[in-house]
Amino acid sequence: MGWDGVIGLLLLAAGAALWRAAGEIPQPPFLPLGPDFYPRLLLGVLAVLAAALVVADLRAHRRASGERRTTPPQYPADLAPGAPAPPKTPTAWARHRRVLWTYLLFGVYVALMPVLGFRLATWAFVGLLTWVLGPRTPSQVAVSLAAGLATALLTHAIFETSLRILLPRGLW
Amino acid sequence: MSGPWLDAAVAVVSPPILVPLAVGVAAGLLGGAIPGITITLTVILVLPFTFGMDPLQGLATMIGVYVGGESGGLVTASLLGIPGTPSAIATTFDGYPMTRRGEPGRAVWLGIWAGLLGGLLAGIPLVTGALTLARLALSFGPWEYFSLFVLTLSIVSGLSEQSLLKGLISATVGLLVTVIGSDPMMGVARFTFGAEALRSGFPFLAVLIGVYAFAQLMGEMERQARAGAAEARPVDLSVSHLQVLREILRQWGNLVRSTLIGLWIGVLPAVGGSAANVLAYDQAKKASRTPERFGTGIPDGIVASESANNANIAGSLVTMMAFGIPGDAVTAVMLGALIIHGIAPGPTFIASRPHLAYGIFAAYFAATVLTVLVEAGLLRLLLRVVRAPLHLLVPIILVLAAVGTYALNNLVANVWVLFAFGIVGYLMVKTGFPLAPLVLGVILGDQIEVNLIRALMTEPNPLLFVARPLSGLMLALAVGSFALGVYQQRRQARARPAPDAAAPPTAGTG
Repeated sequence: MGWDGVIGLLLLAAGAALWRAAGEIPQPPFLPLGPDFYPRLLLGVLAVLAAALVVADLRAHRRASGERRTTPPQYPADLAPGAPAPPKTPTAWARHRRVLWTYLLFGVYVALMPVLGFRLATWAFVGLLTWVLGPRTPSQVAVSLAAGLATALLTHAIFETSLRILLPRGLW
Repeated sequence: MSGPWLDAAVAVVSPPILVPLAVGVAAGLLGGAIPGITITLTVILVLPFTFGMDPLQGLATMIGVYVGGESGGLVTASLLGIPGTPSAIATTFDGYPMTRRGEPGRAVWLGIWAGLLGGLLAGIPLVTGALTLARLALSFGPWEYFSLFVLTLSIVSGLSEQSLLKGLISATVGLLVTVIGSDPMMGVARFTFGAEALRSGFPFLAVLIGVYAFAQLMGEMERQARAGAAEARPVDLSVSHLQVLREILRQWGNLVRSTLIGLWIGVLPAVGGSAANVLAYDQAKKASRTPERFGTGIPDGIVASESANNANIAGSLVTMMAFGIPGDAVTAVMLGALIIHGIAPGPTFIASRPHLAYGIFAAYFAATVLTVLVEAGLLRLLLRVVRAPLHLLVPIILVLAAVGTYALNNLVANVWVLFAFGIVGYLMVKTGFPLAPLVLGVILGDQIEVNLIRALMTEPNPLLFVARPLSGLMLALAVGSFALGVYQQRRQARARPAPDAAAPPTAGTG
């Protein structure tokens, strides 16, 4: 089973859990259609679609494995035995490293924003993330720190002073 | 010129509207020109700045971003061969070869002027179409509304480039997201699991920004890790504008056809400009007597792509103004902004807020013209910002996205919603689930429920959805578009037997 099948099963499980939870929605009296009617309708549709996704995935895999048995293994030109080593491509980790760091730092940023205050949290977040994503040269440290401080001060000035949106207080 | 028109025209050329509009155009040009920063991202960035403005100022700013963004994208596309936005993909086909042949000024200005002409041409159907459709929609009962929304969702799910099934799942999940919180009829809490923060449900803009902003930024980061960033060299962009204009007008057939294609794609809900320009280019090539010259740097391709782009904006605005349904991600943000200002988008919008509605029309025309002027002044700068490094842009965009969602009602909880849906959106793109149906589901969710329940409470007979002529027609169209989607996928599957060889999915639109 591929990813699609796994997702389909997860959706089915989540749908079933929500269906149970829909039973606990309080019912106002004298209503032919309670507030649980529409969610249950959607959950029914979702169940059918998710089941179809699982079936489609299983069928695609059966077909693919059937084809694999009948045809000899085919190598891409640069991976065939005896071919020269393929040019170095970034590994999965190198490609996803930056994405993972971004999510991690953003999560910490949101968590710390009410504690540190908008300016401190933003300074730290922008400073660290530009450092993680950018070229890690010594001069970049200064660039990162400056970019973080400038972003924090500018956004704070614009939103608090001109637009009167009160950003999280915290320490600073 | 009658009352509301005159008011709107006067308002738009007065500084309180004109200045934010021009700033929006400039922001759109910059955002559009930077590869990886889409128009959707730019409008998300601009959004928090509009919270303090009055509704027309805010909407005018966003329309400026929208129109300017399309034009900014073509500069990068023509000069560097990299589409600055997905809506400029087809512009690279002939724009870049023309630049390499030593005519960069001609390539860029063909695009700018074609965009202006296409945009102005599409402005007339924008106004008449929106007014007519809104009048038609005023006669809708809950049955027709429900069927219209179902049709909308089925079109979006079927037109998404990936699997129809995944599109439908995406839409259903979007609808389910709106179920969380108080129910729209009685105010009974649903699926809040005792959490008070969930009572009011997920703010739609936090979901939208999370899904689009993260998915697009992360996708670009991964792309640049493979391909590297853009490089720009200074070039001479001087050109004879009269000659360029004559060149465009000589192929008025192409111009009109591409404008109509752009309008049509724009009217279709949640299908962005990334489809319009490629389709217009393709049709121009098919209609041409010399199709083999396409791709070698001829003006026809640029004219087709760029006039379709600007017409696409007008089309999206038609759907937004007449029905309160977003024509694409950018108009979805605009609808969110209207709701923040306490304005209910929908068919009564034009009739109940004529000042604002006609102001939006006028802002569209003004933005189309202003883009040419602002762009002429900013061309050199645009070439420089193309190199703006992503490692500086990403953190700043994320900070502004966080501030924007926080400011929706001054709650850090909103930013958590942004973060959660930022992860959901990225995972959806990775697993081939289209984002547009989800977003549309979240936008339409409450209205679908309200109209469904209202219809069934008025008359418990569900057959009325089919028996009422307009409602029945729309449901039939929904089934038709579903069947078409199934048929096309079957045909594609037969043409391409290996299912694993599918192209990597792309994030979002325009």
